[in-house]
Amino acid sequence: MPPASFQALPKPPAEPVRRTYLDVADRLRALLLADGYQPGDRIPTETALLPRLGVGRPLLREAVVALQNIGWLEVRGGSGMYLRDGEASTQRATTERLPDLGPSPVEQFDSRTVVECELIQRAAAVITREEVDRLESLVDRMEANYPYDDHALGREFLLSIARASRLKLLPAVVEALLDMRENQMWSTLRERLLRPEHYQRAIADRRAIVAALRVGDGHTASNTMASMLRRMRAVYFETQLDDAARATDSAPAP
Amino acid sequence: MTAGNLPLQSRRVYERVAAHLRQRIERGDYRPGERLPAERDFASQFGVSRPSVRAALIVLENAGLVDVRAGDATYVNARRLGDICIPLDALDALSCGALEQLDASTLFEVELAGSAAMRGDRANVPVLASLLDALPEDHKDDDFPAPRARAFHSAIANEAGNSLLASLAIGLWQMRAGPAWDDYRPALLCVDGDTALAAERHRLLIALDAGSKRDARTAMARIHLRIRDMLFG
Repeated sequence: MPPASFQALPKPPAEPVRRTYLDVADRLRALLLADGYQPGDRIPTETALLPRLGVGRPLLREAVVALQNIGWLEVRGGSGMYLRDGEASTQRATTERLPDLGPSPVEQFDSRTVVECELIQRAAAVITREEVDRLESLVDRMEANYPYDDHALGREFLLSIARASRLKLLPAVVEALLDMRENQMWSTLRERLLRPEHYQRAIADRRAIVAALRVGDGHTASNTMASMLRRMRAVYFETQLDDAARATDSAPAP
Repeated sequence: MTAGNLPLQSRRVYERVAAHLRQRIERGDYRPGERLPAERDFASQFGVSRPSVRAALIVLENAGLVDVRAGDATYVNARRLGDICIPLDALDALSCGALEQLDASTLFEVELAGSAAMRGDRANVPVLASLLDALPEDHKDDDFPAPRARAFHSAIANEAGNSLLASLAIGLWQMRAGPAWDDYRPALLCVDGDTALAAERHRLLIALDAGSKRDARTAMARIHLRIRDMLFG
């Protein structure tokens, strides 16, 4: 029995977190204003900005999305990035910092990768035959939908794997992380960047995942999940935004 | 303002300076967006060394209170970080056991240690080292969870450049105040005095300093394994 003084303690305040991408967004905004860009101007491409900020493309992408979210930048498909007209672009922004916009899309995506690869490995050891059958029928339905993507089926696939782990905490984390995708920012990213060949590839990956789970091979299941997510990450955060947009604009609608 | 106004002589110099500056910022002596006096001015004002002032400012930076920009310029942070979007209370309500919580923190912190080795700021390693030096004093405090261990692990999490993963790891430290840990709390207070654990934490710092992702992950995994053994072994 622990001493009474150890029980019923108030939760200590959380140590604060640092959001690197917001610092980059602050620096990007200050840099563009120092260069004299005005509302309506087209700003340099991501590729030109990368060396000036000394960061990688995913981090710059996060900063651009943040500046888009506050209405300071606009990405026009196939044309480039523009400083938005209007009062959002006042000179005050040179010293002002961005408000907290929460965890960035890359941070969300990378966190999901960590949790999902762990869960699938745990699940492989304990998943039942019926659960694998249900996963397989989800993939069948995705295939039947092709070339359209049913976003809800992808979510159910991941949640089913999470539940099959028999854990409590990490599945709740995955669910919260998946909920964070249900907003305008993520649907814009999806619409702008995802194309039928990505869905097709992801369906093949999920088939391989189901096959590995059927034989209890957590290692292969987890590796396949990791490479599927790595590919999606490259599509979301490492393609050039305006190039991808141009390709989407000229591609026939699925 | 003289050194005589700094509280608690027994604490480390940089901790006292940090606590004092925090107080002044929270009191509004320095306003959000305002530039703080230069390190050397603080050093002579408080009668302490410049490295102590620098370490104090880094503590405040990690706490989100100030922003240290290029060339010795420190500003009071105008941006207060909001909620973390992961409902920690909901996780609390799952009433999952201490072991499952510890395994989850292992997962997050091993990942964070690897990223911190790759992306962290090498200049912050000495600060982590001073946090580590203070760790054996953790058990002397009545408050829980061990504030210095928490600060050490949180600082590493914040070096990794993923605020979401960091908030999950930091949140799990908070959850150690919860009922799932009631039976383990006395033991948990003692683990930070363990020499094997201290050695692993030193190895972690060496790996972070060397920028070795693999060694940092290994060291963090061994830290957690040791804690797991001591509590559940």
